Amino acid sequence: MLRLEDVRRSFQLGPVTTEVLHGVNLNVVRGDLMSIMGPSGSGKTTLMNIIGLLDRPSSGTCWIEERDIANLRDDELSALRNRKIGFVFQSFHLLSQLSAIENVCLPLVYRGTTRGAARKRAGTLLEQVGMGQRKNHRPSQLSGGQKQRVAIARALVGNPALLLADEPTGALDPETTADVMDLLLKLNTEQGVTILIITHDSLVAAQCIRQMQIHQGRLIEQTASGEDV
Amino acid sequence: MRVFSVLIFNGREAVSSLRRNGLRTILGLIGVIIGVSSVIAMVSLGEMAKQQARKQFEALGTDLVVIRNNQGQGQSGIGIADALQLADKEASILNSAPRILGNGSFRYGGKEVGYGSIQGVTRAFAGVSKLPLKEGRFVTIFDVNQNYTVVGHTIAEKMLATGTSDLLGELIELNGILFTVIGILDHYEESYALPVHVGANESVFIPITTSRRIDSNQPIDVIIAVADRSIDHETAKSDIQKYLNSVTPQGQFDITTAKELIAQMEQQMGIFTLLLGAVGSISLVVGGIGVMNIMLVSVAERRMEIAIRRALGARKRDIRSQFLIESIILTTAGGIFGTGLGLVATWGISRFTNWDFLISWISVSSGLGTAVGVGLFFGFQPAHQASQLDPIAGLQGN
Repeated sequence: MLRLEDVRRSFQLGPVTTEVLHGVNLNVVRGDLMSIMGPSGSGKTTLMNIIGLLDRPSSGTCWIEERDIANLRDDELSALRNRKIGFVFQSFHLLSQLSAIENVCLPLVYRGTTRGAARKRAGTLLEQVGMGQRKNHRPSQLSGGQKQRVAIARALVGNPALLLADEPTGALDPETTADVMDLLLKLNTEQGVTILIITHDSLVAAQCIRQMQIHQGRLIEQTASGEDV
Repeated sequence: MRVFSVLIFNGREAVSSLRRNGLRTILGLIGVIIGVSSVIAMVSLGEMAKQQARKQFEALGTDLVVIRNNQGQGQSGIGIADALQLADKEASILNSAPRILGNGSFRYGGKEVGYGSIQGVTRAFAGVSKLPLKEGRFVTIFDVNQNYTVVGHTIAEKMLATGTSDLLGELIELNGILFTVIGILDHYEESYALPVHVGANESVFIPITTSRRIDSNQPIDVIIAVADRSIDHETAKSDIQKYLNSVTPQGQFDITTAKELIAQMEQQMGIFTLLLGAVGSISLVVGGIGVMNIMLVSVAERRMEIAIRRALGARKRDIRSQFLIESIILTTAGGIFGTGLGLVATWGISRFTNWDFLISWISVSSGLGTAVGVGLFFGFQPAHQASQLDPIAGLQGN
C-alpha cells in the first residue's frame, strides 16, 4: 500500500548539504499497526513528511497504492494527501475558530463533498471516537484527550489509506495516553484502519504489531522477539 | 462542483474570520468606505455642476446664436436695418437683437450718478438677455431716434439717493445729452451661459437708432439672434454667415451658437468630473493599501492554520481563494457602506449649494466595481503569499 525504496532526503543549508535520510526502505501493508521510534534529530519528522506527502524524497521512490509520487504536481499531491493520508499531530492542530464537527468536516470540504453530506459523515465519526456529545464545542472547550479524539475523527473522516500519527500522545498525561492508544488499537483491530505511529514513547511503540527504529537516517525493523531484521 | 463547494465554504470562513477580527476589519472598512464615498461624492458633484450649468443655458435658451463684430474701430460694420432684417430674410432665424455699445458719464439733478455703458438696443435685446424690468417699459421700435432711456439697477439706486421718489419721466444727462427715463431695471444677474457681457446694473439702455444718431461711427458690436429650434444649429449658423456676406462682403464676424457653447461646457465639465473622480480614487487606493496591510498581517498570523489546511488536502488555489474572498468581501462591504455615505454626502452638498440632487449611477456602479477590484488587486499578493507557504515549516510553527 505504501512503499519506500532507498529513499534519501538531503537539505541544502548554505553551501553545506546534509543528508537526513540515508536510503530508507519501508513497506506498509493494509491493516498494519506500526510504530517508528527514534531520538530527535534521527530523521523521524523528515520521514513522516515524505510518508504524509508533504515532502518529496531527494532520491529513491515512494509509492502510495502503486502511484509514484515523484511525478505528481503540487495539486495532485494535495488531492492524494486529502484522499490517502489522515494526519494526527502531537499538538492536535485543530482550527480554534471552528467547532469539533467543522474541524472534522475539513478534509471532506477540500474534496468537494456537500456541506450536508460532510456534516453527516463527520457526525458519525465523532460518535465513533466518543465525541458525539461535544460536536459543537470549540477546541478551547475540550480537554487534551478530547481534542485528540476529534483530531482522530478528522483524520479518518475521508476514509484514508493510512492514518499517520506524529507523537499522538506526546502532549497527553499517561491516563489519557492509554485512552487514545486504546482508541487507535480498536480502530485497527475492529475496522482494519492502517496506522503508522511516530513516537519516542516506548510504551506506545510496544503496543504496535510492527515496530521500527530510526537511527541516524536509517530505518530498522524489529521482530516481535526484539531482534533486529 | 468541487470548486463551487470550496468557494462557498471559503466565503463562510471569510465572513467568520472578518467578524472574529472585528477592530481590524472595521479599520480596513473605514479606508474603503472613505475611498468609495469620496469617488461617488466627487463624481456626483461634477455631474451636478454639469447639470446646473446646462440648466443655466436652458434658462436663456439653447437656440441663441451670438454674432460678434470683429472689425476694428472706425469701420461701420453691419447696418442697423440689415441687422434687424436678419430674422425676416432668413427663415431659420426668428429674431435678432443688435447692440451698439458706447459709454459715458451719467448726471442727474446736477450730480454725477455713474459712469458706464450706454447700450443702444431694441426691444428684442431685453428679451434675449432676460433684462428684469422693475418699473415703466423698455425701449421699442416706436422710440426711433427718441431720447428715451431705461436705467440699470445701480444707476437707479444712485438717482433715488438724491431724494427723488419716482424716476419715471425724470431727465438724465448721458454724455451731456438729456434723456427721459421710461423704465427702471431690477438687479441683473450676469449669466455665463450668455457669451455677451451685459453689465446691465451699471448701464443705461437707449433706442439703437438714437445711438446711431448721436455717434454715427459707433458700429454694432454684437447681434444676439434666436434660431428656429426645429432647424439644426449648424444650418442656422451657415444661413447667418451667408446673409452677413451678402450685406457686408468685407465684414468679419464670429458666430457662436449656444449649442456649441453647451458642447464646450460639457467637455470642460467632463474633464472636471474626471479630475474630481481621480482625486477621489486616491483615497480609494490608500484604502486598498490598508486592506493589503490587514491581509498580510492576517496571513502572517495564520501560517499554522494554512499549513493544517494544506496537510488536510487544501490545494494552493483553495488557500488563495480563501484569502482573496476575504479581502473581496471586506472591500465589497466597504463599497456598499461607502456608496451609502457617498450618496448622503452628495445630498448634503446639493443642499448646501442649492443644486439639484442627482445620483450619478455611473459613479455608484464604478465606485462599487472599483471596491471589488481593489479587493482583488490588493488582496491578490497576500493571498498568493498564503498559498505559497511551506506546510512543513508552518506545521512546525516556524
